[in-house]
Amino acid sequence: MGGGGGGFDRSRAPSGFSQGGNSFNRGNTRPSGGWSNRANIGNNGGPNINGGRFDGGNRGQGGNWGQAGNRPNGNWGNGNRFNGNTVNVNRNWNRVTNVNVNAGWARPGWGVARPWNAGWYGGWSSPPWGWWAARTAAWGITTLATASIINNAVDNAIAANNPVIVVPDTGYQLLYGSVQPVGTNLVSFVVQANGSQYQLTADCQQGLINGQQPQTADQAQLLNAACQVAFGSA
Amino acid sequence: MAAGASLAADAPAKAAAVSQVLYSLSTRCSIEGAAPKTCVVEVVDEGSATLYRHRIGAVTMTVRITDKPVRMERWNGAKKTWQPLKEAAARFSTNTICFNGRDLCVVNPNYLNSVRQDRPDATAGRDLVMVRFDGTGRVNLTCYDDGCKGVKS
Repeated sequence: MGGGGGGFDRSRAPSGFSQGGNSFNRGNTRPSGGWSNRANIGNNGGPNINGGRFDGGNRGQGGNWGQAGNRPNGNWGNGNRFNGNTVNVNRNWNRVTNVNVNAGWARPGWGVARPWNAGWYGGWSSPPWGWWAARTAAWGITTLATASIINNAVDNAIAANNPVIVVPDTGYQLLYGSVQPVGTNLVSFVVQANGSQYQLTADCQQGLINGQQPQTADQAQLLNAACQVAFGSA
Repeated sequence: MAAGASLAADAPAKAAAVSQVLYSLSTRCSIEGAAPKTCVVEVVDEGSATLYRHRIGAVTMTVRITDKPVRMERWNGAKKTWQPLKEAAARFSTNTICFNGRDLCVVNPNYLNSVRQDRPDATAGRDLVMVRFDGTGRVNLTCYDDGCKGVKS
């Protein structure tokens, strides 16, 4: 898998002229994750047209304002770390193509834009996953990536118009826009590994990935990242 | 929109046969820059247009949006007519959309999620989007983010 921007066609970046007036629509298309019936008001206490979280120049990473579309069978480069080593893929992981990475909620303010009003995730230790102590002792780790690290990765990816985040300390790339809850404990998502994309589920309560305990520390990181994006505070 | 304008809730509900409630959203609204209040937004797909009924206490403010091309109108209960809006703006990061300056502002993530997903190219990397309408209701100006700073209200 190649990193560093593969998958983006900068020549197709929107000029703006052909799209003037098309910024809005009538809002009748059901977005990924469905319709919310209760808005998450966030810290503003109400409507706020002036001050967005992204005011003040936190825009983009190195001017990467390329266009993100659907790219089947390919890799989303991100210019981030991946040493090219093969990462673990379980036999029960289903390969998929044509993943929608343009979920409406996956945008600035994604934490309050997530339309589902159910679900909660407090991290691997709250409540503790049953397998945690024994497995992590064997793996030689004591923690997973914090909510802050994962949230920042998503914020930066959105600002850079990049549909993936590198799952911290792994070679997995999470297509964060693919994350969707299934009930209050489960989440479905797509991960990119070794040049392919896989549709997976995670049980955030039990700490399972595709119904199994993680086989590696990397898989535990992946599980944690997907659950944080779906249900974590952001 | 005049302050406290009370738009008849039932007048624009003269629905077409294909009318379908898309969602009802409990959220917060602000009228003419006043303090936000709890409100409910009922959204109805009428086939060629989408109605947004904002119920803020005893006040109902209804906005009708069509596309191809995009047009936005408000229901004038006194005149029993739809009047074209002059302006609309949205800030994605706060889930806010405002109609006619600050006449009506609402937190509506559903609308912005739908727009974002339906218009990925036009909205990618954008936070603030504003459109102006001419006297006939057609968009005659679109600006984004810092580009809106030079646009006078």
